[in-house]
Amino acid sequence: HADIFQQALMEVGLNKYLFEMANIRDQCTWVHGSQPAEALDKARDLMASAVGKARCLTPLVEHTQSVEHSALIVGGGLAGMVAAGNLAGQGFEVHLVEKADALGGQMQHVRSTLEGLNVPELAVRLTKRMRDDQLITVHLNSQVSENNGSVGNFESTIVSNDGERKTVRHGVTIVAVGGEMYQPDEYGCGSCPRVITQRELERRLGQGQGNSLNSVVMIQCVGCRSDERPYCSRICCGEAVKNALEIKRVNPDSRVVIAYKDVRTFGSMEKYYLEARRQGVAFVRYDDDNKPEILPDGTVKLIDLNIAKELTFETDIVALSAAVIAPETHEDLSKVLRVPRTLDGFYLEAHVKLRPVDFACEGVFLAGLAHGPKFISETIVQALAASGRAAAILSRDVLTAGGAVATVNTDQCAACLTCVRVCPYGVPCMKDDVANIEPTACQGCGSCAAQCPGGAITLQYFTDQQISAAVEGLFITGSCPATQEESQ
Amino acid sequence: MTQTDAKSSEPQAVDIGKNFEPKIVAFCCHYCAYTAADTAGASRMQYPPNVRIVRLPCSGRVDIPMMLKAFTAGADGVYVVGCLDGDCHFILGNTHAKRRVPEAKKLLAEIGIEPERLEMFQLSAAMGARFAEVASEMTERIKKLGPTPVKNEKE
Repeated sequence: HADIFQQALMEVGLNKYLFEMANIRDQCTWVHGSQPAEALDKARDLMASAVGKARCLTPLVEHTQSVEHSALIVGGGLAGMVAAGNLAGQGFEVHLVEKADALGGQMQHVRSTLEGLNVPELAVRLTKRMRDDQLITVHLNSQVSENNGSVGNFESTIVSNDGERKTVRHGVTIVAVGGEMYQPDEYGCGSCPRVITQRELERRLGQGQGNSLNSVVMIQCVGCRSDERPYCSRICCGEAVKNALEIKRVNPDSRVVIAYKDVRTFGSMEKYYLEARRQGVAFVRYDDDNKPEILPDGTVKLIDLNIAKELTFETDIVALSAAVIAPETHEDLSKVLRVPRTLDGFYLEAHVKLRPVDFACEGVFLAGLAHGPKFISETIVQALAASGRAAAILSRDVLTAGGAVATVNTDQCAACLTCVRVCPYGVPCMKDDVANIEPTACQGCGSCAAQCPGGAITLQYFTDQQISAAVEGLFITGSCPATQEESQ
Repeated sequence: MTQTDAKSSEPQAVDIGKNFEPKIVAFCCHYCAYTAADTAGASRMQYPPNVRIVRLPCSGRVDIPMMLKAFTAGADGVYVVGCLDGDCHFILGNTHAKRRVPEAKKLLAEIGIEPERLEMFQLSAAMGARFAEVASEMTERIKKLGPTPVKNEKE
């Protein structure tokens, strides 16, 4: 929200660095709900702190820098390809990096959607577009190993499996590295041949094996909605209904049972759930205390909580709806790009409602399963949104940077080289025997300002004086909840 | 100017009134700690109102004089919150902070202030619950230690 207010200042011609915010909502009202009097005291302190700092603020000058009109898209699945196509279509160069030896990601495992989209055909079309478009360079068998710079001027290293390294300059980055299917070991999957995943079931249906399936039980929520992974995988209820309808289509006399915790065929999927019910698909409810039991011959025993009875089914196949999970490689990439992840391992957006495809770091965007489980239609929309946001930056000729950066008082600099050694970005260098910090290269962390033994470096917008004033402001009102209480 | 009680080198036994509510300053880095605090707020996680946040771009911005000045300003407790190892948005800032906090604790001990009044914590932007937990932990810790032995000239 601070950015929005700073924008407003700029629009009326004020310097955006003459702005300070007291966070009395997310960090006060919302978290001290049962202690309104104390929260009010704290709000006063936070405001006095903000005023204290604001009194010490000075206008800061930003410098213009040119923009690299190209994008680095990490991940060549649906999201990555849609984003690449969108950006190339607007005239921007795209580097599309894919770790596997082919584009497509999870699309290779999907035949169709509930709405009947022909997914393999879409995959072929997108892949061809990536190959044919002159502006798109596809790097297969490759990963991003290094990333430096900032919005408008990134420099990344792409490493291929055979060790070849390429350096590319780009103005923006889009993270579209996808998700993967949880490989269940529950219910005998992996050891009992009758227990398979929905993905495998879909593959077999695609090969025409549907009419040999007379009795199928599907189990939902495998690998998620648990202590280890509390989230819901979003797509599995729709997928189960999709496969159930397909089985019924080729074999109307088959018995299909879906064991669920909740049926989450929300919105326009509701009509497919109703159709499945109409065609005789049975939905039985279970919970974690009453999990289905699978015998080695495929017999399923489960208690239907809706009727409080134990049911037994002999089956040809037990299909598990396995969760969408974040691959382990997400951890490495998040460190390389310096972007955060959620507790579940997916990537964390800047704000769930106001900036859903941005990362907090400027110039880096997010789309697809990398963000969390979602439908193909949702991935496409998100990829268009992320590439749209990216295009807004790439379409500019200049960006301004360098306001809240470190500045050196050359009179006080003793040329001890401490700042040179401390900076994580290697920005300070010696020029005319004193430290020199390039404003457009400085990232504004303040490590040098904190470490300089002579106090010769000032981090603008977070100077020693400003921080002191902010801290002292917290104690100015002198209010203390105990004193208030006693005096009442 | 402020002065500590110079009568002995040990912290004075303080009369901890049952209504002692400490004021604690938390230096929070913008990318992890401050965002985690916002995350805690968005989820309406509750924690004691004794903690007051000062936002910095990076925990690496915190230096020893800054931590000590928080005590001279009147803080009963101070803590620094930065990113998890390897996850600092500015790559190494949290490493510097992790080194400076123990040095500051040594200085505090030397001048007769309990080093437990100062602490460093690390968490990620998504860890709103941990942010709230840390706030509760430090509030409890400082409540047990009592008011700061640093005498402020305002008193």
